[in-house]
Amino acid sequence: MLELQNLNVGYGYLQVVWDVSLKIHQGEVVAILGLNGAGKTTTLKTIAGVLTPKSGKILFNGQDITGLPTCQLVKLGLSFIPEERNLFTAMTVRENLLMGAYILKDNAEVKRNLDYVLELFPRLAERSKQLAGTMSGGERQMLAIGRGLMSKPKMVMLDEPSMGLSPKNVLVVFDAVKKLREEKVTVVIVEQNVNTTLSVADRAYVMEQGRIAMEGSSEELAKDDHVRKMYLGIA
Amino acid sequence: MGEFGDILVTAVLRGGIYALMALGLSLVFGVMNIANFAHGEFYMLGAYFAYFSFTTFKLGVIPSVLIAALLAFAVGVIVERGLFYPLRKRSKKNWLMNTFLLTLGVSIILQNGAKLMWGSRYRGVTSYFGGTISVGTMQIPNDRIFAFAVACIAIAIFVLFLNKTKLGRAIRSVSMDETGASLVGVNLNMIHTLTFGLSCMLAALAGACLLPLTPAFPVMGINPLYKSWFVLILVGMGNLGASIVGGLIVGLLETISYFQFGAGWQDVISLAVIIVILLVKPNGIFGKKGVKSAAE
Repeated sequence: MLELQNLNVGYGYLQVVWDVSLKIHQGEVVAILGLNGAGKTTTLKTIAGVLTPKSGKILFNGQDITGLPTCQLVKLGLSFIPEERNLFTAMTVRENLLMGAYILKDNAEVKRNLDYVLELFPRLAERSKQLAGTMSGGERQMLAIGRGLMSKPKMVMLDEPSMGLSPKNVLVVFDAVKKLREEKVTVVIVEQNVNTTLSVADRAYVMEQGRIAMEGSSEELAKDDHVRKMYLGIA
Repeated sequence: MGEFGDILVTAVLRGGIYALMALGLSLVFGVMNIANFAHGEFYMLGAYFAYFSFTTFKLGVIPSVLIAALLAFAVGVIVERGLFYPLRKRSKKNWLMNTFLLTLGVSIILQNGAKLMWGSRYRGVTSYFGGTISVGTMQIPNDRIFAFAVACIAIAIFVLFLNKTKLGRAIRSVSMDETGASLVGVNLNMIHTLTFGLSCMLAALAGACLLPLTPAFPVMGINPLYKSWFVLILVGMGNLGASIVGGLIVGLLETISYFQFGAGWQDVISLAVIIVILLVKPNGIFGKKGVKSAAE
């Protein structure tokens, strides 16, 4: 479904992502793991069209989307939920969600997706009239994910969804990922919370210093000595 | 009623137009982060367009005003596509300063362009409707009421558009978070062009409906430009709801100083108040750090 071919990305003279190639298939949940500064977020932002690669190709469903503006990717079914959340802080929860369905023309479909998201995160239904900027971190993350799902994407890219959340809210977020997996939505998830992530992901890539260092199924990686030492803190 | 009532009525009539001008200026600042110093020139264009539609083409009052608004919208779109869009493609560094200089250039070109095409003589109409209406002890010209009504209707439609329609919501979303807006599929270039066009349209509406009171001439835009900046500085930049209130506050301030100290003093008083407010509240009366436009 998504394929990266020899992607190189950088900020100015500083290159962050080196020659990254990966493949993600329809209906998979794939994790990208790595320490701070490994280039995970940069990779996602490049796929989402927020950054432009220096070289390399990005294919989505066989179509070359390298350098396509961000606003067109949603129409192709690719939704990116950034770590910064990028919510519309002076809008209500409901308005934020409706903005998530901006590309949809059919009102009945918007209504269906809204019901779906509110069922996924009942908390958002309780807060529908509240301004997004006044909510707690966990609620904001739910809203960001909800907004990203309002367009019924074929593939969702989540950047550090559990960052700064309480353990309870981390569970809510990962339950949502599990639900997406049951519905056969393709999910790419970038995380530092390795243990929990491997429990929901089918496969994972490990990035180190801007390169793909390892890849494998979640079970394999969870048993791997290097991963256990570096990311799980088990000797 | 008495004197107090007179002051209030005059202030509201004055303030409505200021609010209309300030709303457009605030919109462009909030959404595009451009400090537009050519805003007054669109007011000027509105007056000219209305003048020619009304006198040369003998159209009615309302068609003339609408045509002026639409033509100014078109000019705004051309200016945005021709100047700001290429600049945004090439560099975002020093954006505020570069666009500020660009708008100054646009202002000079439009002023002198108008002088070249239409000369520097006054072109006005004696009245749109004629007649007066008495409010309390005062006789108010119908044209003033008309201008105020147009301002109110335009502001009401505009606020509804921003809050209740999908496109309006998209404009607000861009003012809050550009990345977030493009992530949900909003085409930023289209929104920027539309916003600039709408802002020019609001300024032109003000110029067009004030034509019987201030005739069209090339540098007529300077005064309304300063007034709208005054409003924005007073209430805080890029806050749409507040700029409407701000327009009325400025109208009231000016009218009070006019009544109390006589003509010519209103600018002195207004500017003195601005200085005091900037000393005490540098972000404006309703200004909060980091909060951008929301017409709640």
